[in-house]
Amino acid sequence: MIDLIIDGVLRGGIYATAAVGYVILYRSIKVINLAYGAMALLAAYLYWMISPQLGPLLGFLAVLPATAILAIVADRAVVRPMLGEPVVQIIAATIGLSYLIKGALLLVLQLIYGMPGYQLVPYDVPLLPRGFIDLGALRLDVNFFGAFLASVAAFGMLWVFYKKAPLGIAMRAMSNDRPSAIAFGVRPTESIATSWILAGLLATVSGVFYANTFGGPSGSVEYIGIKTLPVIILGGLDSVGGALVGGLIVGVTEVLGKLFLDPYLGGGFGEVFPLLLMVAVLLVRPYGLFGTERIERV
Amino acid sequence: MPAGVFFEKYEKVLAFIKWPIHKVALLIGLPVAFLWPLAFPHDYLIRVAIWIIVWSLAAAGFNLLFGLAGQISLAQGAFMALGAFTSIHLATNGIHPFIAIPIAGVIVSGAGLLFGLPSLRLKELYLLISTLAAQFFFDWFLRTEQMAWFTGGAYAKYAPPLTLGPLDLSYGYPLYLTVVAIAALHFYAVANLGRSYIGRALKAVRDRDIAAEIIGVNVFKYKLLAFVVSTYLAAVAGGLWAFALRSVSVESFTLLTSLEVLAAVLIGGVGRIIWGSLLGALFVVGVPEAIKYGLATFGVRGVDIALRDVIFGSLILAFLLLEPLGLVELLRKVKERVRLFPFRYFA
Repeated sequence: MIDLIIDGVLRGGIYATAAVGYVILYRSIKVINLAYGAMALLAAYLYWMISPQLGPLLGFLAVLPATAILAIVADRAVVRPMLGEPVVQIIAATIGLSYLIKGALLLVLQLIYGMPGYQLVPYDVPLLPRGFIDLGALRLDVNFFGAFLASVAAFGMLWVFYKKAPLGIAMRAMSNDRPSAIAFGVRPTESIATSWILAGLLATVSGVFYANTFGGPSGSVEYIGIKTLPVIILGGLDSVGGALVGGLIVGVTEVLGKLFLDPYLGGGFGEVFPLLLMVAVLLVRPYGLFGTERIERV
Repeated sequence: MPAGVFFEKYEKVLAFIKWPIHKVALLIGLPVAFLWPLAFPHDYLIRVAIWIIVWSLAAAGFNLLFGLAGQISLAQGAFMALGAFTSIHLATNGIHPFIAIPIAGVIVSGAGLLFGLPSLRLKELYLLISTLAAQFFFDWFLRTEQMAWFTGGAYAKYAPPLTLGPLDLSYGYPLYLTVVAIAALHFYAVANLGRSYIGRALKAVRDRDIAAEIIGVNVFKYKLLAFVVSTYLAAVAGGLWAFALRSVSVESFTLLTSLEVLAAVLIGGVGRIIWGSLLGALFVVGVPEAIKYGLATFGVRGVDIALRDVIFGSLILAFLLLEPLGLVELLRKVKERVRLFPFRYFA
């Protein structure tokens, strides 16, 4: 039981990392990026392609700029020209972007690697070995534990960035009150581009670590983008700390749902359970548990 | 938007067929829609045409919800699946398919009503996410072992043949005629819904729901109505597709279906319920099929899904960035250009 809860908490760490990618972007442009799952999928396969040549650490570092550049392109080419249009249209554009990324990736996989689809291909050089480590009475999955540590590190870096770095402070100001921040000399393009880059980097971190927990990338890595939605909703779309709490809640409910409800309701309910929980929370608190309430005017 | 054509009488504004081009389209288009399979009696073409019409029906539902009422739903695929399985079940239990499809639509609308309830408090993004949750919930629900009696589990579920008295409508041209007739009926009803007081109320809700409430529109009621009608259309489309294919499985309608419907509406024209949905479905179904066909004639196999995704994504992006009002607006510009030829509005 305690093992399962620990498993859920560690799992939640990955979801929280992915969620922060959504949250950072939402804070700066008030849009969620539904191409996020596709970016994580791309990162997971890119790592699979280049890690045999470069080794685990260098390979991982080499994937990071790829998604960051992709994120900048997405910003410049797709989202920025559309800013100011209805939110739903921009989200639809990110859906189009995710089709484009997935199609291009599939084309490469089929033409160069001769795979029929998004097959599960084991990592030859995994970021972390599979197995367990014993910490006192606890057994921890190495992958989940590593991913959890990585997400804690990412959270720490982000916290320092938002608190200390001038750019981070500028970004907080932008999300808080855009006109006054611009009046104080914050460049909006710079802070939006930075949030896209951060979101791209986090897509790589979560995608590669998530793929690693399966032993390699497969089509299901894309679902990290969907599984994270309850996280950001529970935590509130614009709260970085909320993402951590939401991630832990979702991780634990998923594991507990699998344990207690799957036998009665059929396999896979654990995966759907957080989504239903999310709808229930939304009905009671329409802006999530930690999100700021918006006051609407006519 | 082009200027220059005005109505002088109020009746003309209210008319169902307003523009000369609509008269031409109806006079030529309707017979052509019914009769072209006689000129090209090709089974494959007819099947693709049925596919397009069924998808355009689902797209019309989404277009009503999204384009008129401003609510978004990514659960259209799930509702199509529910409609398909429900109508098959009703039909195997002795209800005539033509009655079973609308009854299934009404039953599934109940589910739509349930998942439309959050729209009272949720907007845009949050609504999108909660309907996405609905899609995933139904996807899981229909795959569970407990529902295997309903969906056929890992196997396909077979529909009884479509017949009307002694007539066998379950193949080729007769099937196509049936589908077109049913779809035309629904399109007519939805178009009228769009231009009646209900349509105006929906537009008010879309443009500013708080303002709509102040001028006396019951926002919640109309939001739910939009959800119910769009679910009904999706379910009818699913039912038609089930009887056209004769066998459906859980894999027939997934999140991809919902996204295809969304793409159809975005490409065709948001808020243009009939033409937007028809043209969008034509694009969304026709282009990948054309690619597949073209690649097959050149002997290239296996990459059609990848290419379809790339072209799909590019089309969605291109339309959203360059022509947010879709194909219908594009055609309208062409029409205005032709009408004013050799002059034009802009240099």
